[in-house]
Amino acid sequence: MRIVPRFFVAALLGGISLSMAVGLLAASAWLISMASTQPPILTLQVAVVSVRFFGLGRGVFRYAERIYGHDAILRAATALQIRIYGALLRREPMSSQAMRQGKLLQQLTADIELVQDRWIRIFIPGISAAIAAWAGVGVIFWLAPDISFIVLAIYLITAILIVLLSAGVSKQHSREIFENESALADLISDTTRGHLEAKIYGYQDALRASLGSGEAAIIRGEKRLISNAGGSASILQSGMYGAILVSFLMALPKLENGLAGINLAVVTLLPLAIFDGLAVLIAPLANYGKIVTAQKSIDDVIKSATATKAYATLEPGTVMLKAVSARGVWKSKSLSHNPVSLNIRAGESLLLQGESGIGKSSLALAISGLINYEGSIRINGIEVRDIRNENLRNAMTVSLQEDHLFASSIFENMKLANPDASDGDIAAALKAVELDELINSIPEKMDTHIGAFGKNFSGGELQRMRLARVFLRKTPLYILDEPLEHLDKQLAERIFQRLQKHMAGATVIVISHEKIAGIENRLLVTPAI
Amino acid sequence: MKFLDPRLFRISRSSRGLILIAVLSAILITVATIAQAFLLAELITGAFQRELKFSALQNTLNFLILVFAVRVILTYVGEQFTNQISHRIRVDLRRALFNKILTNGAELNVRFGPGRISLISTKAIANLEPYFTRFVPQIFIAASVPLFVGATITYLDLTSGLIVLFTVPLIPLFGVLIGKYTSEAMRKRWRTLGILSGYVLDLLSGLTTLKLFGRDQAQGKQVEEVGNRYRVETMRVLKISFLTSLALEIIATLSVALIAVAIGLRLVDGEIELWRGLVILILAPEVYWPIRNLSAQFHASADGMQSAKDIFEIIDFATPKHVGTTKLNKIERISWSKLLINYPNRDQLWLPDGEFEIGKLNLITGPSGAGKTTLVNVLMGLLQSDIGAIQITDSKGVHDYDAIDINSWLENISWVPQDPHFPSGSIQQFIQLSSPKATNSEINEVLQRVGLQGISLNQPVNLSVGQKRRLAIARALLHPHEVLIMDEPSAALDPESEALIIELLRAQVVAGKLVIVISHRAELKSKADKVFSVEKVLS
Repeated sequence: MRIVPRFFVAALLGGISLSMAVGLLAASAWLISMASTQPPILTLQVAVVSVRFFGLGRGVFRYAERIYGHDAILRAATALQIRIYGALLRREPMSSQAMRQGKLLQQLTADIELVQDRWIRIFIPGISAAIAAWAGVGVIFWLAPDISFIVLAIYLITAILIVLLSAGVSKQHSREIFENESALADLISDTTRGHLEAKIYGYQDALRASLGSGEAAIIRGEKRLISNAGGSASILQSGMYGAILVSFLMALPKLENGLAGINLAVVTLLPLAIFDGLAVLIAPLANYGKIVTAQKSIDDVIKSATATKAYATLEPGTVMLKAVSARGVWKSKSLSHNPVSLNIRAGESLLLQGESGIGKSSLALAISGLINYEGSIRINGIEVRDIRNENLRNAMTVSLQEDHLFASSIFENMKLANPDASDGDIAAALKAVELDELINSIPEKMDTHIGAFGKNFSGGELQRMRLARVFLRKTPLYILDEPLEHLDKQLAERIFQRLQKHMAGATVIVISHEKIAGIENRLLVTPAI
Repeated sequence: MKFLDPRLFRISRSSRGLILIAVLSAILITVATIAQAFLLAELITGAFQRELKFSALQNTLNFLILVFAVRVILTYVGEQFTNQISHRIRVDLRRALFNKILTNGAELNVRFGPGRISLISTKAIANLEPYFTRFVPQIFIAASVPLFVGATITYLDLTSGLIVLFTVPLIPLFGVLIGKYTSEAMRKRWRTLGILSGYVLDLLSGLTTLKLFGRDQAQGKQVEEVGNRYRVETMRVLKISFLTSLALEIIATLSVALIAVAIGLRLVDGEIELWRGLVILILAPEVYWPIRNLSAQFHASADGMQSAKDIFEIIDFATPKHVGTTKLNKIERISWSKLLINYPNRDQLWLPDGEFEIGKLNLITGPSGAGKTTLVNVLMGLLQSDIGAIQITDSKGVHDYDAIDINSWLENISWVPQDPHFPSGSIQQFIQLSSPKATNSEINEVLQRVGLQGISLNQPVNLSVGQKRRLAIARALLHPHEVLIMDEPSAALDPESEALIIELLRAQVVAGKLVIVISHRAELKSKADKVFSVEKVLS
């Protein structure tokens, strides 16, 4: 998250608010001391008005700071999200496993929330506190310069000690605790899925034991954290009380030469308001380790994105595909199949077969230009990695097993495949996968919400929705990864016949471990040794 | 306004310690606050009015240093204790949640969904931290300090005491009034916020799909749009809550100013001594701030109370108790009739009557979404059927499902789910979790049977989908069982591996096990002895 001028404006507003608190204390102390000398009432009027002014002003400016600061931080958070989205666009897609678990993304959203604290809970209030401290010290300087220097010195030492203790020493421990906590969270969400296997296979106690050891690690870290950094609040108090005592003792001898008695209360009590601004910093500073960890993982995501380059243009029309010794390459995964060579002329179909988990889907992703590859994959003679992305997208329809169905309506999920599709087109596509009856039988029909990760529908129904999207696109190349998985045989056959009609004339690659009627051309992907 | 959830005490003994510490430190803080005010006032009036020298003030000064020291120590010790105790309470709650998931995970998953359960076990528990370490101690400070400080002020000066008496109730009164007025609006807004923040997560999850359809750039604009809507909605919520605290702060400030000015005017007339005035001036904010802080932390408290509520909703979720006690012997047959399942968001599902027995390869088949997996879940006791009956026959006779000891039933099952669960670790560790006594040669032998020969036992379990499925089958075979249930064991497997799996299943049938397989694959269907078809009968 980048620093923006708005943060400084918020800090300034907060500084004014805290300075008014300083003013309030000074004015009331002076008012009472002055009043006790029984002066004419008019001399007190200024002080009476100031007390009210500072009292109201403090609240109003504090309100302004909070509103302005939160608005600024939310703007910055949106900007950060846009940058992360942009970075993820340029990055290779996550492997299907990481995707399914969704942990990575949940962690990312939690991190975005956490880094906001650096600005809203540390930076802005920190600067505000510094401004108010200068204001308070300034008042003392006006009354008794040498006292102000000592108070300032105590203030600086206190502030530095707090920062060193919380942010420095505790950083490592709080990061450890953070990591252990998220490991525990993983364990719990994992167990939510696997609890029955634990029961049936009798390893509940092993899971309980890992929960216990995770907790023990957290408690150990917490103990160290508290004994190291737990002193921050007491250090703040010591500094404040020390400043009060020192101010009083230094002011005492001055009463005879120079310092007016009515200002004694002002000088003695002001440290209360001066040190007050530091109090809100203690809790967020203790979290500093977590914030730094979150910032780092966000930076990693943004940095890992690859740069863009100049691309070739693919002319519209039919597509022929030629691969020589090609295989998809993930950054994070090892290779599992021998390089594949294939040559498909325009309008031909090919069935790609092979053992499960061997990397056929990676090959599909490589052909679609989403991940890198070894060897050569050419469409109409041009290397896929050199083709402009928009051209590639318009040239092909790719249906993957893990294709995401968004948590919105069926209609919107269909529209995604082809923004120009009419209502009639979408109805026809749903009919082609025989979902029309089911959808017409539910009250909201095409406006039915699919639910987060498609939870309102069965696996087979979701797969048919993915296929319906294929019916909405007319492209010269189709790559279908296990299109008939989760479907029973008769239904699969009927749908595939319609698909073939829809894809007539196009170049087609189907990935499946079963034979598919109507595709004679087959290529077996063999495991690498 | 409820501040403390009594259920917390039941789950966690440590929470009683927290209360004790909070009460003790609230009392000590009250005493120290009052003493400090008297000593400071004495010092200032002594030096300023009575023009005392340092030596005459020495004693007062020593007392003040002592009070300061007590407060510093109190802060240090208090923070240590509340932090540790807060941590222990969270550990207790997490453990209770975890045990509930282990014993009743299936019902919880149906009722709450796995996403919500993990959200509660992480976020809700984390939310309790500020609640315990800051809010709970504040409750007791707010209950003690204003009362005694107010009494002290009244004792010193009746006029100031009366001002306090009339103004203090305004703070909780306005707090409650404003809270009542805004709570409905706030609730609605928080809901909108939840939906908006889920949107970005969903968008990021579907990034590959968006890329494939060439829609990623267009959706990118949506990130900004949703971000802006999120900000506008959040600011609406915050404006209300900040305005509430502004109102409370102004009441507190004006009340203190009222007292200060009243004292000032009477000082001019000589109606009150300076030291009294100073003590009251120093003490007056202490009446209002603890109450104001508490009201301002209303959201921390609402968060904490909501989190506690969410956690207890899971911990106390009433799960049907299985009271049967009959232990099962050699299992021979399972039959069922008139099963009816109610889905939370959809229609009811009727499952046709049927039975499976040993000596046959039993297959459940049917179109996608018809309820194949549901039937198996009901038979295993994972899901409850609303009506209908299940009967299990063992060597001693026929037993009603409700009469059997559910654990003796589950212990007899080896199960290969559609999406097996793999705790991290090596292959060996994975197998030994369920079969602690299995030797390496036994493990290797089973791995060979499922076609995983040559794989290293020390290899971590991040294998391909097909390999994982076979590893899950290996685990099921190693685990002693009477009943073998497999959900789509050959999905994502090539024909050769499928043949291997069928061979394995056949061997289990011959060995006299009750073998039940879900599949829609033609190959398996042709090899099965008994096919049970689940047709979609939605009512």
